[in-house]
Amino acid sequence: MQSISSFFAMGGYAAFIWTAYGAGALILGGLLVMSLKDLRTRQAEIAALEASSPRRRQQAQEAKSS
Amino acid sequence: MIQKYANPARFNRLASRLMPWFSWPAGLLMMGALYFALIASPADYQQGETVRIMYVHVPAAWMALFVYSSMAIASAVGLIWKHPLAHLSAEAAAPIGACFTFLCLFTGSLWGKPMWGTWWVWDARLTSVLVLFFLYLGYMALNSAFDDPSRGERSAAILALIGFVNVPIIKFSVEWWNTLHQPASVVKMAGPAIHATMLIPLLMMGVGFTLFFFSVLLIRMRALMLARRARGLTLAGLHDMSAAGQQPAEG
Repeated sequence: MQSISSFFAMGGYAAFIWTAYGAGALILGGLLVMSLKDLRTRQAEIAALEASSPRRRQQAQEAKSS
Repeated sequence: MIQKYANPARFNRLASRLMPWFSWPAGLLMMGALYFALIASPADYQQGETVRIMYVHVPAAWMALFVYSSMAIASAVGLIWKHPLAHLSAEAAAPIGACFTFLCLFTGSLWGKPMWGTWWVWDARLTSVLVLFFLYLGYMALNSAFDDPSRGERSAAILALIGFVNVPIIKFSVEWWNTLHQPASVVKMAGPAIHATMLIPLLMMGVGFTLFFFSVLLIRMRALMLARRARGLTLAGLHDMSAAGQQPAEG
């Protein structure tokens, strides 16, 4: 128990160290999530565009099968 | 030869195949680095526990410079050889580089307060990294400032190349000017002046961040290619309709 609380206390610098690591997790995690969300949005957009144009859909299917 | 990956379908296939080779090692390395950084490595004899901030701060600084340098190279390739993926990759990299640069500044501030007694000083190292952050933001703003995307990407590429002079300034700022910031400990002619217990988490985090960068870069490049294709399809759709004598639908 002693060792766990001293681990989180970080020699009295807990506020600085954990904020730094938290910022790292938040910024990099946020960047990853936002990039994935953007990709999904774009994929849905393309799918909708292709579905709305029969000629393009046919072309897309031909491209897929070739 | 590389030209053929400008085809979105081919690029998509290549990106999906490469993805697990970047994303899994990135996750594992960063987890491993966290263990060594927070638990297995000792406190510094001068800086105490605050030295642990280094394992985020220094790799983030490396990435800030690495990503910007890659953007400058990609911009040069885009301007000279007009490879269609070059500007796209720089555009996809810019927000990632901006995130790493912000993380570097933020963690540096958190390290500076307990060790230097101040959150911020206007010295050469800190100021030049802040300039780097604004170069990233300027690149992104300029890139999207034009109605014609190709004009935007050319202007942004020129900014990226001009701003590249800042990269050696950042690197050597701690040697050229007096500063509170400590000089390099890892990349030195005489070899790293840092103990293995601290070097291991530092390098693991560095490689982990690099692989993380490539994972997110692939995701963002795929999204940008789809956006470009959607623009093309919309224009072609309008063209089809006007060719058939129809009015394009409202909205």
